[in-house]
Amino acid sequence: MYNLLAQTDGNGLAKRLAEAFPPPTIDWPSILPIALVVCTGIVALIVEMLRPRQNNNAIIGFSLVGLFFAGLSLTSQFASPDLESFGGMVLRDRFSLTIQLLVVMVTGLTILFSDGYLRAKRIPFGEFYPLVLWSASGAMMMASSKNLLMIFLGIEVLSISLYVLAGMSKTETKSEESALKYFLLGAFASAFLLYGIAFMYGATGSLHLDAIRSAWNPNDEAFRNMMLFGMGLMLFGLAFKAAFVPFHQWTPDVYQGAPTNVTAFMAAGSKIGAMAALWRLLSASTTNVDLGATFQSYWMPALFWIAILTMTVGNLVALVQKDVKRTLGYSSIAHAGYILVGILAHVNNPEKVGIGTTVFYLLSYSLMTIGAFAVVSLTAKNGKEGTRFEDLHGLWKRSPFAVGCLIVFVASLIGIPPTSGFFGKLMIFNDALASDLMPLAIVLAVNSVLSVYYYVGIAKAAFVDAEGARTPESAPMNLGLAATCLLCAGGIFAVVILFNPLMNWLVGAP
Amino acid sequence: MGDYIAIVILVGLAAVICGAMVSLSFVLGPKNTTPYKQSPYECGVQPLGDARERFPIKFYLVAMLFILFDIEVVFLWSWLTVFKNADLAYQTFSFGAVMVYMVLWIIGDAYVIRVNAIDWDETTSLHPAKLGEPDPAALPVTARDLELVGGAR
Amino acid sequence: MGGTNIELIGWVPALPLIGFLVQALLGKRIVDFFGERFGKKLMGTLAVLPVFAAFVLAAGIGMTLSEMGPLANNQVVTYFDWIRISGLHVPYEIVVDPLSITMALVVTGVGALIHLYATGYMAEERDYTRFFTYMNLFIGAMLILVLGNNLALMFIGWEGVGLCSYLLIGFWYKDLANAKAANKAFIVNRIGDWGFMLGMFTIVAFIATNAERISPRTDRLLSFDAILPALTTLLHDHPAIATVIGLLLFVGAMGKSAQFPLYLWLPDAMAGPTPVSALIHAATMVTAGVVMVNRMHVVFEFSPVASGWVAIVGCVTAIFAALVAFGQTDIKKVLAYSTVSQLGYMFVACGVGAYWAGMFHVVTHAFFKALLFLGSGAVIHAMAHEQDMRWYGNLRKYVPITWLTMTIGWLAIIGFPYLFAGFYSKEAIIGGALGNHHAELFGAPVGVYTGWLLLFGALLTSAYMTRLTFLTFNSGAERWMNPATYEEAGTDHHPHDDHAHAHRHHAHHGEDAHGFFYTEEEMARREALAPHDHHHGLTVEHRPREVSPSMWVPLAVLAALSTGVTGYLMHHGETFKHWLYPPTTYNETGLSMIRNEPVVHAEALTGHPHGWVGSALVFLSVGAMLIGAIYGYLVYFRRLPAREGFDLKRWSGFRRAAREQFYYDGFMLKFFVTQGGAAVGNVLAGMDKYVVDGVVNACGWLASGLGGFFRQFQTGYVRAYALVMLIGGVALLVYFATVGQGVAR
Repeated sequence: MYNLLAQTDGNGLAKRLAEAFPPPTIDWPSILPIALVVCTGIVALIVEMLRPRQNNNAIIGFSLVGLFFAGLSLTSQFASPDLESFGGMVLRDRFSLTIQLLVVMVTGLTILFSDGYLRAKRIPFGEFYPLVLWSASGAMMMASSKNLLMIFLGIEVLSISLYVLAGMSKTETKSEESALKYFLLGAFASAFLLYGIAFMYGATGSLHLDAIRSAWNPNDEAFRNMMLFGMGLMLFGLAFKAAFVPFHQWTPDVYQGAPTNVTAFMAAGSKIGAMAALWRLLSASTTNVDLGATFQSYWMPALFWIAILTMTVGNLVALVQKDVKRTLGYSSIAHAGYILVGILAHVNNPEKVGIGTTVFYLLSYSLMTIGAFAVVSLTAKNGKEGTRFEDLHGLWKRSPFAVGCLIVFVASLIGIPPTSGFFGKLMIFNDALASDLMPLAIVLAVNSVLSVYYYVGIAKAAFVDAEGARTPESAPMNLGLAATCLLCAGGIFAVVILFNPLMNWLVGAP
Repeated sequence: MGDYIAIVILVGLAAVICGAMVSLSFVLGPKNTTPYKQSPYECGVQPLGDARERFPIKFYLVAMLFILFDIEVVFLWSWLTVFKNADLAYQTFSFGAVMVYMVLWIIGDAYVIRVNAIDWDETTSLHPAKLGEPDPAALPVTARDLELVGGAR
Repeated sequence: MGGTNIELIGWVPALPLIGFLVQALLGKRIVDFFGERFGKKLMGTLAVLPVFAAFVLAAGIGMTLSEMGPLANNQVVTYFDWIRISGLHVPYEIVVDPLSITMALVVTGVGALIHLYATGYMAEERDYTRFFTYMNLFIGAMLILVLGNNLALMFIGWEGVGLCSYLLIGFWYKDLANAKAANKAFIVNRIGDWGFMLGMFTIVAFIATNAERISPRTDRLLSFDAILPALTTLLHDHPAIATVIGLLLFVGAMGKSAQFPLYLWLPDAMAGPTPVSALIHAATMVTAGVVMVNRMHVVFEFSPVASGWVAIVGCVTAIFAALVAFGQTDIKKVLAYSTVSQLGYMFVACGVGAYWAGMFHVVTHAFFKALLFLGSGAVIHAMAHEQDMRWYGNLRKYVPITWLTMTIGWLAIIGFPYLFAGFYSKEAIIGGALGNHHAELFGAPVGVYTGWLLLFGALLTSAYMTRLTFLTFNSGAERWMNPATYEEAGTDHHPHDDHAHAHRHHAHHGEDAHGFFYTEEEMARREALAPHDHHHGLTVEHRPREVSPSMWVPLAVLAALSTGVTGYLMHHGETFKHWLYPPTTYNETGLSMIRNEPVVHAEALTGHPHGWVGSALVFLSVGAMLIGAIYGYLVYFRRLPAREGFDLKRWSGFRRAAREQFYYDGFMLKFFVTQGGAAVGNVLAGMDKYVVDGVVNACGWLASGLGGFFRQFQTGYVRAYALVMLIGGVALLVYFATVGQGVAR
């Protein structure tokens, strides 16, 4: 840039500028879903400004319609060829479309049950909807680019919205605390991520993952170390977002403090985005043996141990929790570990193991997590919310339907057949074996057993009689929540029944 | 000298605007002096005392909004330097992009004004209209509280 | 009869099983429908009939078989597939050969007689049909055991008779002692079953792994007609395998046939009703081990070592049980130890290679031991369920038929020369043992030693059986009239068997002797049927009475069978031997010719000892018998104090020791059941508590402990979180910078 401006002379500058900033080739459909979501958010905000009092219905309607069209535009592109447009900033391939679809689905499910909960909690702010939509757009961006800056941008869009959302229950100290914690630690992690991106750029002169991959040269020590530092710092940032141990500590606090619907979105949408970005980064950081030592041979052992730690610590600490949301928070950490195993299995042996497992697991994880949080959100009433295990007591009498669904979610989280959670875990297990990651498979299996205890505890709490409950009776079921529960529980079985066609469609025929 | 005449004009304009702002607010503004306002830093913060003190979060809010304007200016200026010498194709494209940006920015500003984010008022952050049906038992800030502080809109 | 179709053999086990179903499903209803008196008669008849029909059928088939000649008399009748999997085929098939038919005849013949006897003996029993349910099931299972043509069927029968034995020992299950005895029998038998099964598996594994060496190839790896020739071929080169299989099978035989270390259950099994003792624990089931060794004799022929052990164990059992019998005062216990002892004889015969002699003794023993047991049952019945011989005395006056028949049984078991069956079979065994060179251990001719020891055993048998007979029927006064004698004498009285205990202190409170409650109506009916005082102990006024015809007719038949006629017919011209082991396929010793070894000692061909022993054998055995009998006569008839069942002054130490089975039972009880059991129980409980629970709890503790540990890092302070993240990130970078560099590549 400096050189460019130093030679300032009339036409020459214009020419150079034209070369430096060419108008990019633009494929509008490829950003249409993101644009739709963002614009829906903007429209929702405008509606929020103009709406009649105390009525979020219009916002919800606009949001759901916008998400529907975003989903439609995504599905319509499944047949289209892979391409990169906007100067390599936006990528459309099967993976990005699938992940974006998942994010759209997660957002829709979250919005569906949010209104009743926010009203019960006395925080019916219309801003929730635009914020969650923008957050979703961030997650979608993370999945649909190979440019590190775009990924970073996606993370920030995702995160900043979530910081605000986490603190949405302004009168609750723990909500504000969670927002501040999330913000501070998120900023901390973002700095590392950005620093890592800078290292990568410094080493390779490019922000594009393909360029980074092709630039790998293990024999140039300075270059290699720069790459490794960049990789390490980026892993730091992404591991924070995905809540891998030891970058996980914000998770339980934030999940507990944030409003339950925000937690649900955080647990599902944010994780999907982070995992997508991680997969992009990791699969771009694998090189062939011909060049000498492969890139992955450096970072794979580290992630191997991170996966073991994440699964184990997540489950172990979950065992001693007394708060449902916290428990589910630790559970999401453990599930992040499982997903990481799936990704590692794929990256370790891409020929044998596809990414389909991870996609399927993300799908099933989203369904069961959102469903579980949706049921837990029933404990809110009259601006109060209790999320300890005792606060679920007696739920089975008040809304047996919700408890029935809760059992499905818990069964799926544990991994009991014939739920999708079981098949997801089984597939990850098989993948880990197929990819010579036997220790991970064993740790996964052991952890699945460990997790049974606290998951069953959640289901059990719902069946205990309500005597001596400390909080007022929970809010009655509302239509949106019932719909969410039904969709999630039905989806858990549907994805199993429709497994083959679904996977063919989502990740392409093998 | 001719090359710098623009700068002189800019300095002059700035001086006029600053002088106008200060003098007009002095002339037109209500005079309600308090000891705090008479103190050297009249920004609502106690000038003497412990360094580790709490001060209103509104400062951050204003600072953030201020930064938004800063960012806007920085972005627009750098874009403009490229824009004026670029070819038509780029000009068209980038103009569209910046317009989108500006529209979003303006909507954001509109929202900020709408929610009274820049009003220096304790009550605006908890506008009763947004709190659903009023339930005095559950509401942390009751309607009566609002009346007492005179913030009901 | 001679033309009976062999195919009909399937009905032989089927008939008692049908009887079993009838008894089990209809018995109670029929008795209720027809009333107790007629209903019981009807059900009794229905219980005897199938067994008797099976006997007739088996006899017919036996005649057919005897006409077929030695080369053709091994027929297999296959009915249906039972197990058919890859590499293993087990059909339901029945073997018709001399061995199986002999046993079938014994089982059905003696079984029918004992059933008949039981209809009288159990007439007062409330659970009449339950008794015959078990009895018919037992006959069916026993027939499957002896007739089955494969080890699997044999094992089914083996377990079936074990089950029936358990059920019948514990028939009066409300008496704790009976229930314990039943459990003891069942548990001790499991040790034997373990051996049997391992032997079976070894055979299958051995044949399956050497399948290419046998022709024709077969997947019927358990069927005798397939595996015996196969084993004949294969064991030539693998004498060690023969020893292993032989010893394992013998462990099975030891359990079922009550040989020395495992005999413990049989004396306790006398807790069952006396017909059960006669049928199961004397005549048939306990000889299953002998039958099995005969069936699998090929294995033992290839292993002098295993045979040697068989002979030694048999001999030890024979002598040991005979000694213990001296210490017993319970008439059934004496007979029980006598049975154990006689089973020892049979195993010696099998061990020394005189398999046919073992079977011979099985048959004659079935007759005279059933006779003795039924006779003792008649005595017990007459004596109002008193079983202690010291309470008897001079009973021949009161129960003449029983006395006569039991005397025949006595003479048969002690081997009174020529006139009684036992003489022939026992002489065959002793002769086979003295003359045989098959059993070898460490180069020593074990058979000869055991032969001499058995001769001494014969003396002991003669003595203790004389004691039993004289104490019961002949000696002294009618001691039951003077019941206080023994308590004062200090020899405690353990009436723990049969009806004795309960009747002594019995009062009719709507509960019968074994704790089975009657309703008021039933009680009234019973009172009307049986005189009230019938159940009380005998008094001076109340004399023992002879039993009913349904009970003494079987006694008479068995007595006839125990006479020398049977023995002579079977022994003369070696009929029985050649029937079981035809000379065309077996040499004179009874060993099959498959070993193809030249017979070193020409004398061995006769199966009798050579030299002076051979010629003096008769005199030796008769001499042993006479010495024992005269000793018994002198001690228990002449010299016995008139009013006492024991001469308490002499031999008291020995007698006490013998009564306690030389403390073996106590030791076993203490070592394995009470203390050992407690120890094992403690160990297992400890395992359960500390290891299993510990592991489980430790997992929980570990998990929650680790969870708690990790939770400590969850301080809630952002600065702490950031620090942990930073440490993690730095660790990551340090790893990349250092270890990763080494790991890579």
